Amino acid sequence: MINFERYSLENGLKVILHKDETTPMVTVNVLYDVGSRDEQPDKTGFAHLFEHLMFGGTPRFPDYDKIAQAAGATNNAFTSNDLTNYYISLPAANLETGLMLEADRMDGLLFSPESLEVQRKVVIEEFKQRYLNKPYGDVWLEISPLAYQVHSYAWQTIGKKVEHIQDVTLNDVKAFFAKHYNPQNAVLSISGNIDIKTVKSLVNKWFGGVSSGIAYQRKLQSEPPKTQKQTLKLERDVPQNAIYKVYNMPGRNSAGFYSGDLLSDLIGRGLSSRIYKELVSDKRLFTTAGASVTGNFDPGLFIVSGMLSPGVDFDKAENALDKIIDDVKNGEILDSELEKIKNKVESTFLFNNINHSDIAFHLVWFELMGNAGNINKEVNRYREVKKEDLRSFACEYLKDSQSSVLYYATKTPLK
Amino acid sequence: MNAVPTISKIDKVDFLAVEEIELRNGIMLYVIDAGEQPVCKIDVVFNAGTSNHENRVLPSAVNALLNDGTSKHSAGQIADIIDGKGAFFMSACHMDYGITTLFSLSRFARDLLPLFIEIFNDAIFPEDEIELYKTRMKQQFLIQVQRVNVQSNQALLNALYGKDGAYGDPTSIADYDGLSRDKLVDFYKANVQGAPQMVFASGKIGEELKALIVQTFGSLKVKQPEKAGPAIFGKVTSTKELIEIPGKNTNQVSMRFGKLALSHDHPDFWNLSLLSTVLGGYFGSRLNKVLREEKGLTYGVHAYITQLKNSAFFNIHSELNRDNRDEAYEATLSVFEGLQSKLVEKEELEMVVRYIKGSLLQSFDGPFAQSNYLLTSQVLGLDQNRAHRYFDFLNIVKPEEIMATAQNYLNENSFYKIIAGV
Repeated sequence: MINFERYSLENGLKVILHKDETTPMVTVNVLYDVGSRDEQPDKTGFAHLFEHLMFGGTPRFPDYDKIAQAAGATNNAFTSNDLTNYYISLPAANLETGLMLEADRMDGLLFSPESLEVQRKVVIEEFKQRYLNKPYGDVWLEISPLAYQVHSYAWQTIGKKVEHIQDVTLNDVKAFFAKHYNPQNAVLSISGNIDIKTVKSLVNKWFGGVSSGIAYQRKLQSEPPKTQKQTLKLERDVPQNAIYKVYNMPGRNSAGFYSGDLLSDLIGRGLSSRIYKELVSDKRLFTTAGASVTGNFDPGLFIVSGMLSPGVDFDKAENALDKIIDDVKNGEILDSELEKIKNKVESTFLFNNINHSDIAFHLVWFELMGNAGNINKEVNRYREVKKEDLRSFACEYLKDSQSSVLYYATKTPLK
Repeated sequence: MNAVPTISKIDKVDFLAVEEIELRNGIMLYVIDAGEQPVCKIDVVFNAGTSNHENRVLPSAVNALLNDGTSKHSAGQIADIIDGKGAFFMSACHMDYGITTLFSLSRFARDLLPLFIEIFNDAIFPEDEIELYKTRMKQQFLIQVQRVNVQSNQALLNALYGKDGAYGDPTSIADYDGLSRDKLVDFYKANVQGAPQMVFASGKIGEELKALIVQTFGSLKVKQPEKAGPAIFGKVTSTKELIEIPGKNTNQVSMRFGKLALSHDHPDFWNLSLLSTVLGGYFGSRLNKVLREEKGLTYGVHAYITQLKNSAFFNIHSELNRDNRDEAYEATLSVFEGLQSKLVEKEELEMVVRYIKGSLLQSFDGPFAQSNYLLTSQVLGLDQNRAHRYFDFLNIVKPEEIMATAQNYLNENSFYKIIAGV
């Protein structure tokens, strides 16, 4: 049970407090309800570039990092399709410095042209380092547009292409900040060695004066069901063929998600999964293979993928993966299989909620999805899934005609 | 406008209590029984690192194949039992040691302990699992060696230690072909079976589980590991001129400066640690400020000391656009020069010191984090109390010492310079 207290300030900022006396630290976590899904198709990668600019200083504190480091803090941020999250962890005695820094940059930025020029270059290097200059690094850049032809999950947070980053203007930056970065679109959590009463008054002191802004109304186009299977074959200078087959599935907050997530574990998580046992260990069609889900807020993806063994062709590999899914639809699921993956979910949940800073993020994440209190119901939502749910999930969503497949082929096959 | 709050100094770091128990067979057990969540972790350390064998990939293979079959259970059965309890088994091979880890819900740890022991004490290395492993690892090896940062790292290790030195990296794809069952079993019998060096238990352990761990590990028949690896330093053939590694179709090059670092008992050790942080050990470091935040040449640049059991090396690394390499190289040298010719301002020094203290505090945040820190200390033969000593040092260090250290250690000609992906 993760205890927390939740309230809102007058300007609309939601606040969640979690006390953990076992740590000498405290984490201030600010989540903004904006991700790459909120971008325009011709200006992608913007939410993430903007995340870099949030470290570019404010009129009052031109150097965020200098103050943070002087307070003994470590801090960072990340952007996903769905959200942008900032966190700063400090020795508990320096909590107020963390609050000051986060409130200050929620209130306004310097918008310096120099910062934009530099971060634009940094992000382009990040694009190359993480996606272009890395074997298999572009897989998701290629497969997302197959799976999403309408919804903005069609592109990755880094953006569709380097040119979009190059074209960003300072006006774009200012407009984006005004639209998304205000108390109405944010959730703040503070976790760690805190005194609740003191923290409340400090939160009010620093965040109470930030003007509320306008709540952002999200209007995204939803992805229609596919009428036919989408495929793409790429040739790259990589050592081995790989296949990625994805199916569109329900979003994170729907009941179907829990069935899909458990089913992906059943067929493809770890050494005891069906894919590993049958296709890797037994038939040797793949050297590694598995299944997972993206877990996006809007309808996401169910992914089966694998690196093909030398000499195995794409047809054979795909048929084998299809057979695993057919077996779920038509075959038996053992009680022990279901119990196993539920135990795994429970232990993963516990291991993921040990550190106070992880809890800080998970609380705001659940709150953004609807209710922070759901963090304590999460394991049970998995526990309630029945065998029939897995089967009906497979029948409803894992259809070949609804799939998108990337055949990632080597130019120089390994003997 | 609210006044800026005063920043508190951190004067010390608090540890969780560690119970050290010498088991009756001589194995050392370290227990950190703390934490809110009902989960625990047990680590067992072996003298089975990559440096313990001439074929560097052989110890990794032994570690990786431990859970692929024992005389009582097949690979599939082992996976079923561990996954069935929602537990995780992991093995890893570092340069100096091999380690097997069980992560478990505390309530299942008792049931899993016998299997955990069986995995490292009774592994049988089935031929077909070895074949699967070889195919997989060859693929992964070929993927890894395409990466410019991997290429420059390998080149640095070989330059520092020699390809045939214990920490050198002579690995080629042929080494995987050389992984015969006989050789795996030889190494396993000499260095793993009956040869645990230390055990670390952390998380919510409780008296009952602790007693069981003491009893189970204490009753193992143990021997000292037999297989010693090659000498630390082999034949060093590289010069300190720029080493360029050609690459094709790369968007970025990997630029690396490296040299041997001081050992942890050297009087200048703490000075060099601090200097590496000032130089490139955190986001506001001199190098990151110039290369990333002023010039936008790289996504990140890092300077750090890698501590090994019998050596240590200093490493500065970044990945950058190939057209920017000369500018980045020159900028790095001018950062060196700045530290050698001008005292670090009081404000910057204070900031770095506080940053380091804050990060140290984080390395002790919770039983698992502290257990990892303790494990590294014990395995590498470092002082357990080194965090306290570093704190003491940080409280009195003077800018003059940093400048002197920079003058002694940051000379272009003393570094191997490697650019991969040219």
